Amino acid sequence: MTPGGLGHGVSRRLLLASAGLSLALLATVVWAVVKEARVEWRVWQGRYAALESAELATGSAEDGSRGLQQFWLPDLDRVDRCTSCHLGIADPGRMDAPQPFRTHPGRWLETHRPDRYGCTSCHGGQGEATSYRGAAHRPVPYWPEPMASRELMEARCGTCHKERRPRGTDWLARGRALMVDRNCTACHEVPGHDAAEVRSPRLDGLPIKVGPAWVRGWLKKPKGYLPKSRMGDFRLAERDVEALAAFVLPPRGKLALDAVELSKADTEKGGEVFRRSRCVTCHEINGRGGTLAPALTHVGAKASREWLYSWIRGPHRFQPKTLMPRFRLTDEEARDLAAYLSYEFGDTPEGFEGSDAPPSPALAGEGRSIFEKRGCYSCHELEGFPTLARIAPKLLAIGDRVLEPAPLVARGTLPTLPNWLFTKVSGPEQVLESARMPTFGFAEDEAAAVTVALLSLRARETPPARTTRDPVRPPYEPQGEFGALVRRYRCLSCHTIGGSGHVTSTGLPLSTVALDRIGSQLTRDHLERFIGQPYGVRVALPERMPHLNIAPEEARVLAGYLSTVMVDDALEGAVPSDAATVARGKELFDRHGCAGCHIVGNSGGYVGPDLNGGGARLKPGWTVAWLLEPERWKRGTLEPDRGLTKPEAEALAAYALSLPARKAKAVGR
Amino acid sequence: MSNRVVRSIFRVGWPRTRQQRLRAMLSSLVLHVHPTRVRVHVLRPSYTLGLGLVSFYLFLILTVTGLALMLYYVPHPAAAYRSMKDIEYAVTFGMFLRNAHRWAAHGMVAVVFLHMCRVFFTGSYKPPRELNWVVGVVLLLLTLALSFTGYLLPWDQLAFWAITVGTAIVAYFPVLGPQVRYLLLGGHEIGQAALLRFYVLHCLILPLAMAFLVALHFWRVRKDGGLSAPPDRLHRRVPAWPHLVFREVLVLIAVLVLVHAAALLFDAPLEEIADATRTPNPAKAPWYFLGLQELVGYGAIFGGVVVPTALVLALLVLPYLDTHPRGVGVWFAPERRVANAVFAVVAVAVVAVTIVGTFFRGPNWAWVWPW
Amino acid sequence: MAVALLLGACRAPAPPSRNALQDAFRDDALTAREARGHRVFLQRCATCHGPEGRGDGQNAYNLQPPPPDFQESLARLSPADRRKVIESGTAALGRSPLCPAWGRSLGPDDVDALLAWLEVASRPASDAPGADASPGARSR
Repeated sequence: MTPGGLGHGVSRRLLLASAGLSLALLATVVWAVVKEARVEWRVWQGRYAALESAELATGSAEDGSRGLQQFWLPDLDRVDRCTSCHLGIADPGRMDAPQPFRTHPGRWLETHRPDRYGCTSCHGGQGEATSYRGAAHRPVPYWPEPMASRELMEARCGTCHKERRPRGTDWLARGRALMVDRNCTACHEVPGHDAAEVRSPRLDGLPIKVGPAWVRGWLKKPKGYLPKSRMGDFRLAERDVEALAAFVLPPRGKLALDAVELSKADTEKGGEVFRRSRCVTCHEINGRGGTLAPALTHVGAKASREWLYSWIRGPHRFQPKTLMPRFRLTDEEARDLAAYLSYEFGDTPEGFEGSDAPPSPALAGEGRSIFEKRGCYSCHELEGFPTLARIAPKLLAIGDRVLEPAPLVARGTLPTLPNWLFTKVSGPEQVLESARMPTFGFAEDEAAAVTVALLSLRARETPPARTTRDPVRPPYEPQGEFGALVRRYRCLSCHTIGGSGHVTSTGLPLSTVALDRIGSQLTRDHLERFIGQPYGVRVALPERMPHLNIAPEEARVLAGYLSTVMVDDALEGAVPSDAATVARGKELFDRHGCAGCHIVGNSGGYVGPDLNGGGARLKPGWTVAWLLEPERWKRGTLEPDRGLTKPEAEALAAYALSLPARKAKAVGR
Repeated sequence: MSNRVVRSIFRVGWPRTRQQRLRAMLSSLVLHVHPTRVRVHVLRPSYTLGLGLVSFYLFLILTVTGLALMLYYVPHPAAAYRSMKDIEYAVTFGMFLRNAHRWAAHGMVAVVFLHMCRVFFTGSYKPPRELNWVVGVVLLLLTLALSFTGYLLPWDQLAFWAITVGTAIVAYFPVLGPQVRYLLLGGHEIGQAALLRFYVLHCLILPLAMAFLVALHFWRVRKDGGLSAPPDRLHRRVPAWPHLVFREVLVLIAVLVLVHAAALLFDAPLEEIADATRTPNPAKAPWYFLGLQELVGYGAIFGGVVVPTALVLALLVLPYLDTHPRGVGVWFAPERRVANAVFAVVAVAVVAVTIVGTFFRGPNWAWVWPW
Repeated sequence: MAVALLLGACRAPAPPSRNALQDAFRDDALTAREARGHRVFLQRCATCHGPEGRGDGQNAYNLQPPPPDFQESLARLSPADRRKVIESGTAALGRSPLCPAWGRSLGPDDVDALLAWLEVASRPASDAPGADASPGARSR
């Protein structure tokens, strides 16, 4: 195409322009092609091919492009293209490969196969993307589900695993337990938490228990009296406190205190009763002891001695749902104990020294409306009020909620939903000054755990075929004489039977001894002795069963029932007791170093129970089963699973059961 | 043999003689839209700036890229967003196609507007070109409609709420407004029906209408005696081949280079999936309607109905009001001072309110400084 | 056009950056895996080895030989051997059987987490902790 061919008038300038533009066009086309050929996933696949061919050492110059890889999961509505770059993720031989080719850590892919779950179900991120940035490895704008950190991944576990304590999760299990413990479901409708978890005291009996000074102090700041109080701080104004006090303090109902002659009380004897009964198993004093029940550090400043006496003699009259057992104490013992508590723990805590003048009755109406508005009756039952006050938003899809970023930005916090929930749970007033939600005073890790539990509540319903739940079990309500004893002594405050029983804020019952099959685990005689006179089986544990002073006939009834009913046929069985087996068992005992944790004779470790006299305590079938699969019977136990064969376990059991008892009393301090 | 094959396709070979050059224009389907000879005056880039040609090329690019995108895009709310992600991440050249399509679309709106300004300032709407001007105004509206209907298709928050705002303004029209909105959306809400209608409008109805009117627009240029020129330049002509055709090819290459470069350098936005329960604050119409949205802020009926209707009507009747043949064919002819001034003021005002709506309005449509 | 471009180029001030929840999850010096490993260690191992692996657990005094101080002993043990000890007990290395095999009791990533934390515990406290031994696990 010569200039002449184009005829006159096509100037040199125009021809130069045409040459320049044509080159520019060629450049942009080449640029586009190169850009596409160098797109991120292709580059990674090329590198992986190079890695493979370097290993094969054949140097075969294969193209190495396998094409886009994806998992399409229609029921989860996910398309995950992660394996386009993460090519070695399911290849066990790539543990030392550089990222992104490394094998997936742990054994997760055995239970969560990528072709069934994809990747983003657990990790979050944008599965459709094929670039590092697009996949939201770090948060990107406009993709609301960034890849989750390890802790936040537990929230994602929770979208399918609806159990209270999913395996392998720390934060999620803890958070769900805390949500039960703090009774979030009283005000918020929480999927998976029914309303039957209320455990705050009824207020009917309040007027005969406490005085105005205490009520004022408590309403202003519950943690001033109980550092580990489950009740949050409602951030009440002075006048509201007064009004509420005016509402709750006037006498109501028919409850009355028992008459008692306090002048004869002996505080020293009371102290003995206190120590003997091991009240600290549940009640902490000055920060030491159990947290199942309120701390007694200042109980003398709260309740009168008459009240304490009445309570100890019969707690269930005042609080039918209380966890506290009715100890078998004589009236004198109860009197002495009440006097001891009042004397020893009578210091008034800070913030409770205010006036004891009764509040003005005129404020009672105002107090009542505050009582309603703040939903007090949702936790504290009171005659004439409904049982639930769902005054707060449903938590149904809280994990997908849109947040108002301004309060977080003002505090310099990254305005993500997890941070918002964390800030709100830590202190609702930080997010909205006029919030009605109380400040629960969570520790940082507790608030974080609750946040994880909240984040597992998502809008998109997981298909039922993909969810796991706790088995639904009807609550266990024992009947007859046994039932009456269980109710009197509140066995289910610490132990569980059939899944029923109180769970603490850690999500576990206070005692790790479930009673479901206790009759197959321990001998009847031992049960009877122990129930009548409990002692520390595992010396290292701080918790041990309190001394309820159960009468011998009662212990007999309890032990008899447990031994007859709470059995597991699979655990019945004998072990040979011939000398050869016992000797073999001893050899195994030494070989496996069991004395490191168990005391035999006069030496051994303080981790597991003392094995002296084990034959009188343990049943053979159970011992074998325990040795074979300890983790199955008690998740998280310190007893290791040594992969014993059945004969080995039987020999070990034979040895353990053959050990003679140590002298006289059981070890206990 | 091959010579015969070639001759059967290209009746007139590569033109070498003057007669061949003239006949070449008549012997080809594509080329015969040109006259055999053109005025020298109109060939100068400083006269037309090639704006009409650029608009046409952008339309062609949009058609080609649009057809390619149609192979992957799915016009259903449950699938649209994911198909956009597929185009972006999985389809080879997908992102390039999408970017080219979007920037060509925005470019076309701007260029069509500028082309209209050029035609006005050179008085090229005066008789005998009145109908062509009206067709042009309709083409401008079609361009806006095409861009608007296409804006919804990604089904992200940007798209959803822009169309929410746009169709809300439509509803301000007295009597017919709500009916038209209902017709557009196939209901009261933006959902599956709306997406499908917008898709059919965007890919079928409006492009056909545009193709027809573009053909009419070109035909009328020929019938009206070619592009306008001042009276003293009417008669100097040169053959269309090569002078016009060569320059047209150059402009095509230039447009392609610019569109490619834009597609390679800037990615088209895609926000989160559309969520009818979450309104962004502020929710903004597409940029070419932001001036309108700004005016609506001063008064719904005034800004949303009166002003745009008045402007469009004014544009449509313009060539029938101003028929005096003076000042045609030159930029800013002194005889047309008043007319030019008025148009310039209005055009600048339109651009100004668009800029205000784009950069100076924040949450709750409050004034913000963009720095 | 130029005005539009100029205005478009202006940007808002730098956004807030404190990640409150992530800070609450763990100590800055530990990755998620290391922190998890520490929790597993406290649950299963600390009774004998002590909370930081210094050999000062409450049961340590009953053991002969006593558990070592990890800051001195672990350096002599390769990662493969450490894994062996966790999964099969010290007996698998020909030593005393007192540290039992945990391989059957621990969850899918507990062993990896433990190994990650042991790496941290093996260094004296003055060393800069948290060298990222675990692949890509550090996320803030």
